[in-house]
This record gives sequence, C-alpha cells and structure tokens, in this order.
Amino acid sequence: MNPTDRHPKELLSVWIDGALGAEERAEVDSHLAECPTCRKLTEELRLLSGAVAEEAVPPVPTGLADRIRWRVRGEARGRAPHAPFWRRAVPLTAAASLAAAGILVAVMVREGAFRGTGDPAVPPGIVEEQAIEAPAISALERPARDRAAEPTTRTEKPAEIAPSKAVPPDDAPAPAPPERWARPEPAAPPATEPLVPRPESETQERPASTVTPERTLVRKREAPGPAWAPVPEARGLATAARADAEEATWEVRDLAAGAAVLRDLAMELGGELDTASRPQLFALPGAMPVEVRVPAARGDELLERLRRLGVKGVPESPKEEDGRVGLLLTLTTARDAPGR
Amino acid sequence: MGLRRGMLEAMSDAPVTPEASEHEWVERARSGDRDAFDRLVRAHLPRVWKVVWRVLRHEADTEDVVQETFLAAWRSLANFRGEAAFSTWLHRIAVSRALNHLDRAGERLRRASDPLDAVPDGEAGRTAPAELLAHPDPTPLRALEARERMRRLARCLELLPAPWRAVLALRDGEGMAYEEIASVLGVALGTVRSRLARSRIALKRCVEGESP
Repeated sequence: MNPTDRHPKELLSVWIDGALGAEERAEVDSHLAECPTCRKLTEELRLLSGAVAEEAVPPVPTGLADRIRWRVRGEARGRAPHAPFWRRAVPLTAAASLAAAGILVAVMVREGAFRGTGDPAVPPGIVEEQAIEAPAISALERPARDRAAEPTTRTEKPAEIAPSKAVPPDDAPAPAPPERWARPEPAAPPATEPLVPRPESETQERPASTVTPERTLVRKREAPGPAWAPVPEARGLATAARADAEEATWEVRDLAAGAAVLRDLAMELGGELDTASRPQLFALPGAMPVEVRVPAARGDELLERLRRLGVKGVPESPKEEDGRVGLLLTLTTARDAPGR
Repeated sequence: MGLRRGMLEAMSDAPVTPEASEHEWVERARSGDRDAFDRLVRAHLPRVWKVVWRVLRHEADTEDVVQETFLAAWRSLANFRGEAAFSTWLHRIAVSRALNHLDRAGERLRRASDPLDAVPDGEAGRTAPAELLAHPDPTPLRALEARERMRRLARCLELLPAPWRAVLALRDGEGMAYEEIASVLGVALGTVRSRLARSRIALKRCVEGESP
C-alpha cells in the first residue's frame, strides 16, 4: 500500500464489489485490519451501494413494448432503416427550407409586394441571391394559403416526436403514421396555377436587371442547414481562443448536435464518445471537449471519417492504447454562427 | 390476427433467453425478422428501462429514450458483430442515448425548471434496505432516518453528473461486472474503478449533508 495514500478510497470501492485481484485484496485486507476509518468507510459505501440498488424505479409503462414494436414496424415499412439521421436530415432540411421560402414568396406575391416590374418597393439591393422559379412558387401556394395562420417556422422543424400511446391490432393494415411521427414530405410537383399569373408579354419585355414575381427573393439568407453542420469558414479569434491549438477541432453550429454526430459515428465504428473524461466544467463557453474512442482496427477509418466531416487538426495516424485508439477533439461554435 | 398474435404471445411467455437461443433471435432479427426483434425487445426492456431511468430520472424522458434506443438498435443491427453480448451492445446504445439526451441544451434548460421524478414517500420508506434500519454502531448514514436517507439519496443522485449516475446504475443498479461496464461505457477498466469510487464518495458526502 502506498504509505502516502493512507485511505485508499478507490481500492475500498472496488473491494466492496469483490473486484480486486488477489494481491490488491490482500493489501486492502491488511490495511482494513489496522484502519478503523477505512472500515467505517467501506461499511458506508456498502450501505450506499445497497441503497442505490434498492431505490424505487418506476415500472415499465404498460404497452411500451407494443409502442416500440409499432415504431419498428413503421420504420421497416416506409423509411430507409439504416440511413443515419444526419443523412436523412439534409434532404428534409432542404425541403423545409424550400417550403419556407416558397410560402414567404407566395404570401408576398399575394400581398402584391412585388406586383409589376421595377416596383419601387423592391430595394435594388435585394436581387436574386437565391432565385425561386415560378413552378416552385405555384407548388407551394396552396399550403401557404391553407396554413396562413401558422408560423412558418413550424415547417422548418422536422418532426421527431414520440408516438401516441395508441396501439393498433397486430393484423391491422399499415396505416398512415400518426401525425406526430410524420416527417415532412418534399414539396409535391406543381398542381395549381400561380396566384398572380403574369402576362407573358410583360415578363418578356422586362429588363434583365429588374425583379419579377416569378424570380423573387431572397435577401442573402443562408439556408438553415442541419444544426451539426460545420460553419463554412473559420471564425478566427473566437475559435482559436477556445480550442487547444494542439488538438483537433470541429466548428459546428450546435455543440449538442455535433456531439450527437460524433457519438453515432463512434458507435457505428464500434466505439464511443466520451464527454465525461474531460473537464467540461472548465471548458469555455461555446466549446465542448470530447474524446472519440474506437477499436484500434478502425482507427484509420475514424480519422478519415472525421476529416470528411471537416474536423481540423486530425492526426495522420491514430495513437493506440490497450487495443483502442482515442482522439481528443474540441467542438467549438462561433457566436455568430447560423443555427445558434 | 390470430396466428401472428399467438406466435408473439408464445414468444413473450418464453422463459428468459439463454445465451444460445438469444444468439438465434439476434441472427433472425439481423435478417429483418421484426418478430424476432420484438422478442429481444421484450426480453431486454425491463433492464434497459431501469438503466435509462436511473440516468435520466424522468419517466417521460425515459420512455422517449428507451424507444429511441430500440429503434436505433433495429437500424444498427447490421453493425452488430457479436463481439460483445447483445445486452452489452444494447446498453451501450441506451446509455449513450440517455447521456446524449441530457447533452442537449434545451433539455438542460427544461430540466432546470421542471422537477424530476420524486420518489414517493411510501416507496422511499418501503425500499430502504433492511440493514439500514437497525445497526449497533451507527455511521452518519445509518443515523439518518431511513425515509429521510432515501429522500436525500434520490436528491443527491439527481445532483451527480450524469456519467457518474450511469456508472452507478450499471454497477449498483444492474450488478454488472466492471469489465462489462467498461464495454458499455467504452472506457478503460481503470476509468470504471475510479469513476465508480468518485461517484460513491460524492454521493456519500452529499447524503451526509456535504455538497457532492
């Protein structure tokens, strides 16, 4: 026993679990024989361990297994079951962005904001940064009309919600999933005429530099990409101040979403993301130090995947320890990054 | 309805799966057999539920995370190589999802203003270990009245960092071996030992009235 470690608390904790090797156990036994403080501590630790074990846990809710089965059945029917969520999120977000933009344009067109060419209401600075062609507008007019009272932001949020509690019978035909399960579908092809059809002659005679209702929008607006998406360019000072220069860094829009991506990646490679082994309490705001660990055999794949995600400072080769490789990296987010 | 429900009920009523037959069910589920996967769900749901609740300590959140866990397991079955036991793999997903759930900023905010599940008084008194109730040489912990001790324990568990709650849930709640905990959490054995010791010491201090 290390003489400086008079009360080997860690060993005592392992001792009460009976998980010490013979040599360590003999040392602890010998120490306990002489140390009343540690005897008392082991007794208390054992007491606590028993109390934790016997703490009341709410029972499994009735029907939960059925709800899980129902979700699995729904999963197997409709959607690609093995696609990671971030791959699904991209088209969903794109569709949601398009829908939101379309609704905005439809409302503006309906209000007559841009009626007529060269309308002085249109500031010259708002030119086609992101033009939406007429079919896209017409395709979204009807939903916009129907949902005029709803905040448009609802369309931007993919539904990822717990299912209802209702459990259908086993042999029921595959029903449409309850609304809370549904993900937004991409916009349907245009089926209606535009709200404000414009005479063809008018649009043809229009000078090229003017703005038309069919080619309207949008003041330099960044499409709301997935929350984990890397920020396009380095934000300089903010990032550099938060991350250890020796360490890999990944700048994301949302730390938790970025961590979720890393966690799923790590798990896919048979490893894990550890957010506990590093001093989160001392992390600066907007930074999350984490460690990704995977089996050594998949270390190179991990590094390659991280590079493809846009993680900066990924080492050339993994460092192996106990058959695993680990990479320390810091997720950072700039204060002005979109999505915050 | 009849035949399929009959099969499911028969599977549900089957005794706890021995390793060999579980392997068979896993293989069938991997090949896309949803009934086989349902069997696995029913076999593992109680333990997964307990572990996730012990980490989250919130029933509705636990239900969400448990559902996501099994859904993720279904989606990822192709990646399950059998290097660890199915239950270990499943617990890895469950703990990971539970911790991830707590990582979300919005969730942290909500939990800060929304009280977690409280242990009902009756439950607390009833579940106090018998040995706590009478002892000739009371320690500070023993000196506390049992119901008060369990109430403090519940409160202190809420205050512990979630990864510490996870290790306590796996060891003290589920009685897992250190090696299995290391595999579930993806950390080295030494990390399990030290994290568990720190968790227990912090919990003891908290229950005795010190800050954790």
